[in-house]
Amino acid sequence: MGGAIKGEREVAEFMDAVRVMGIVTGLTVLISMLAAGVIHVVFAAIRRLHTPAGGAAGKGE
Amino acid sequence: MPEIDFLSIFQGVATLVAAEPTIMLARIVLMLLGIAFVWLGVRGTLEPLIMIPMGIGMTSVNAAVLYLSGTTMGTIFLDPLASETTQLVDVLQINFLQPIYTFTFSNGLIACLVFMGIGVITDIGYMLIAPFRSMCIALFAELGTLLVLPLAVAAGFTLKEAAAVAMVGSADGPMVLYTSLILADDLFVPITIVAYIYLSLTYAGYPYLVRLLVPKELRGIRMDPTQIPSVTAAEKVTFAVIINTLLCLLLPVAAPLFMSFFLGVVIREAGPKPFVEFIGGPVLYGATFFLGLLLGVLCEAGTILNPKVVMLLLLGILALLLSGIGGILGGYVVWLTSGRRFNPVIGIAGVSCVPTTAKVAQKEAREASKFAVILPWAMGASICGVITSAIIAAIYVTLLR
Repeated sequence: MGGAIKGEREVAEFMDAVRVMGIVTGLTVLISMLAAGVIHVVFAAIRRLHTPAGGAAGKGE
Repeated sequence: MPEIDFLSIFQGVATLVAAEPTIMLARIVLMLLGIAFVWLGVRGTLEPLIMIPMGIGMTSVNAAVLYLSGTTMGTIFLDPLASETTQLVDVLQINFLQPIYTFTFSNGLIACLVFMGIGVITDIGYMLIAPFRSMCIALFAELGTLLVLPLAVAAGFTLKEAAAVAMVGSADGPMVLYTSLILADDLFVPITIVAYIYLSLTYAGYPYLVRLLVPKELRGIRMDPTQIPSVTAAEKVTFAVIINTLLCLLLPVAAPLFMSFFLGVVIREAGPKPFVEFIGGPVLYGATFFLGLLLGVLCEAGTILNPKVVMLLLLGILALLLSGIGGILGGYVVWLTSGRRFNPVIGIAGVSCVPTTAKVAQKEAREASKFAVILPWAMGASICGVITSAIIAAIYVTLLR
């Protein structure tokens, strides 16, 4: 009986950890892509400001 | 002539003889391990900047155990557990490394100083070659940092301890130190030591992983150097300031790390030369030296005899292995999505550890094709790796603290 309760608690803790891992993964992807997007947009904007009309904007992606 | 008790003169030996057999054995093993670290550091097998002071510290602290009062044994190096005000003031006057530990280590300042130094030696312009691809690789290279969390919980660690252990997969020493100090202060010594030992080994181990997972013809793919944009110092400063503000706004708990890193970047690009030399020299190397020394001194027999240490060793290597595999997987994803013109070896550089993994990537590409130059892309992925690691550390701390 005690062993079964302990087993259930361990499974619950593991599932908690999996849930935290899922949340951390989602948030990390979101924030990292947001940072990459900001870099991309700011870089393109700066290049556009400094490039003569008709010139190419920043290279890269 | 008075009777002389030689054991009371040579107290290091006396305490060794008087200790329990397990403690005695652990002290001897740690003294020998410290000597081995110094030797491996001098030979260059392990990172000498960390391993030489760590090895000397480890050997000394385990040799220099004495009787502090009556039958109480201890050392006069430092007491990591002193926290009550009166006790702390007392030990600050006795233990010679206590001021450095109390004022730089236990509050994470030393990690921030190392981060500031890394910022000064990092050219953030590499990130601008391909920010989305670099960030994508860096995200894949966090596989170990994420997957080891549930595995560590299954191995018997609490959720907080598991997060601190999982951070070893980020391959970023200061980040591991910072996270474990906040989330698992009773395990931060073994976790950080395991992290630094394994990080020293990445330079030796990752090349085999790259050769195993990437065939030679793909390792030799040449990158197009015309893709590299010329970025002015003003543009780099703009990025650093904007990204720092954004990340501090989103994750205030890791703001000291973000601010330190991006301050270093800004000083590199815009700061006066004496600042650059000071932070990139005395601050970075001074902080690294004391980090190694204090980690060594914290390696007392009692700490290392914690039964969780063996599991830490296994989970630490697993985290780094998974992150390496994840990074290469990310390299393959970008290779596929870029019309097979991207060198997948760059993936290994996503495992932060600036600039070691980027150097590994370049070395492996050069061995496959002497014209393959991938270092700028690898550095971009590596810098993104530092940022994603800091983001994960911040989320772990925010969620679990």
